[in-house]
Amino acid sequence: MITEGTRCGGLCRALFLVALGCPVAVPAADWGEQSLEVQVDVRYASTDVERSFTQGGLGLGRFDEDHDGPQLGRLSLEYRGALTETLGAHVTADTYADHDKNPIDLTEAFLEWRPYPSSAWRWRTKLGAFYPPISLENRDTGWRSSYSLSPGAINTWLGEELRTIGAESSFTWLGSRTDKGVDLSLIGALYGWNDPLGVEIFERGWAIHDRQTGLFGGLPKIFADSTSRHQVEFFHEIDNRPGYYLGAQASWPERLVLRVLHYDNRGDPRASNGYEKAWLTRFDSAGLRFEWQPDWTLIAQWMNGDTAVGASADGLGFLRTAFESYFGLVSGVFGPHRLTVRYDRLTTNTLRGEAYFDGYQDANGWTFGYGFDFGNGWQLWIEGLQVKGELEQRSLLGLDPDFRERTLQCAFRFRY
Amino acid sequence: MRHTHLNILYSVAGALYIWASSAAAAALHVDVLDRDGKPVSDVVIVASLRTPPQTLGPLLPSSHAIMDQIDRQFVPRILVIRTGTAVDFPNSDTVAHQVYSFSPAKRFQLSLYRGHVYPPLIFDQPGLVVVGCNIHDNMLGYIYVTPSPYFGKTDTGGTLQLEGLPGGEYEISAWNPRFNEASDEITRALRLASDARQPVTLRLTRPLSPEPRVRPTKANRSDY
Repeated sequence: MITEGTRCGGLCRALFLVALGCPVAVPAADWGEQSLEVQVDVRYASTDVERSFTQGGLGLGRFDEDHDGPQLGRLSLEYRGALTETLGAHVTADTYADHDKNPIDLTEAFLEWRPYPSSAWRWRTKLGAFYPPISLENRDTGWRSSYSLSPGAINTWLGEELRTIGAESSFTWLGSRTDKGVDLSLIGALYGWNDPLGVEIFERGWAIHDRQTGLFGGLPKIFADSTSRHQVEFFHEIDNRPGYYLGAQASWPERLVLRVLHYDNRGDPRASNGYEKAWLTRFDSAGLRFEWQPDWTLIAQWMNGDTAVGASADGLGFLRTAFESYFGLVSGVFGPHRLTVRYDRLTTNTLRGEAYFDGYQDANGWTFGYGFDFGNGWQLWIEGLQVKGELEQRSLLGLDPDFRERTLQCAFRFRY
Repeated sequence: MRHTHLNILYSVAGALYIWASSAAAAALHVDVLDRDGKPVSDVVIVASLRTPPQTLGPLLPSSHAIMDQIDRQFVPRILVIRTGTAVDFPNSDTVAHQVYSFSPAKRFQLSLYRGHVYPPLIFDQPGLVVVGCNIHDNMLGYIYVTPSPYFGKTDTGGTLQLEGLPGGEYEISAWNPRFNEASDEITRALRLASDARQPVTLRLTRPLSPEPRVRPTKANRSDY
């Protein structure tokens, strides 16, 4: 049995300490750039979500009818610093004040090595815990969406369950620096400590919200199991098998970004640490972001994959669920105003083991976002979100599988 | 002392050269239009004398240009200078930048800095030098280095007036990173009488790439 000590905690704590401790050992002269940003997000939520997954239910919204009204959207602190000329550190700490295991947690902590390009080829390497390069929405500090309060379902899921805890390298041919206009990148990563990846999408399906799970935190279990734990924790190494992803990007700076990525955590679905199970999760993703005058943005992302758990003769899991989602977003900026509309398509389907757990999701989401920038770090956001469709597993909790959830949120943000 | 003498010599030679050039008093009025006939600004225009072969004036050590960094952008984004010009790269932002280029005409890197800490760099090879920041990938600047003393950039009306050109056979070249023409530059051969005031219109045949967007001043996460 793998003990608690082998979970992400050891590595992450060490990385965090390295990230925070290194500057002490670095001469002051090497401190070129440091930034520390605190962001406070308080909001008022009004919703008809019956029981949110954050309360152990199958509601797809972050807030529910028993937990709406004034809420802390998020309180976060992001540190970025140059440790040496080409080595930077990045740490994000958050609290959502929603009774997670740790009141304050880290969502990312990594070192990045960015040597100077000496030719048109550039090499960059990240080491630590960070998001893979999939989301084209989450461009703001703290991996927030730049376009609305809640990112699309694909990126919501990354925030819930997925983190690269390992090393990622990218090679970029800098065509834009040779007057050719396009940068072409290849990217690859090896990682571990994320073996429970897939359990949330298997049990609940896709959701749309802006809560990111901390590296030491978790989400309430929806369906009780034989363990005494009430939370599922995603950042554990269980099967001692590293995963990988490979991706490519073509980028015309400030104009068009095209991305593809193949992800395989090479999980052993038979493995368990007594509390969490290893899931075999594989997916392909693709995305496009197009920005054109006068400050209009179009984003489309797609993801298709499956996740499996439990022993089977072929090693591909006793229970297996396929998932697919895509979204299209259009956003425009008019002076201090930003308007965004997004359509999300959410589908999951149990492929194997339906007799034990018949998960099926077929839903559509519409998000309307309005942002107003007061300047000096103050922002107002209003977001209306509707998710409507069928979620078969709701019948296991005595609910009608057909559902419609509506949430209206008003957020005041201040960053310093 | 020797340097002082040299400087005086350069200055005298330069003054004579400018006087001699202005005595010729030809002028070029260049208009750059896109495919739809709209003026194109910020286009680098160089007039290179082909016949008689150009007797290049002395490179003045005092020639000096500035490419600043303001709101995570190079300002100006496009700089055209004569070979031998010294360029300063002050950083007026509150964040540090790492400025570099690996263009064959000038390879350099300025380690992480704020303010005005580095001496100017001499650009002694003609060619295009693309300048970037290793921290802020969206920062892109262009330094066009030409041996010809007759150059400039079109204004917002898409025009440039070049004065004091000697008569002769010229090649007029135009360049901008937004061009999508068959070759990197568009060129035009031209005979200029010594007292002519010659209009030249250069029209693009293909659509321009869109104007670069000015990013919000707060850094976004970089892509890759």
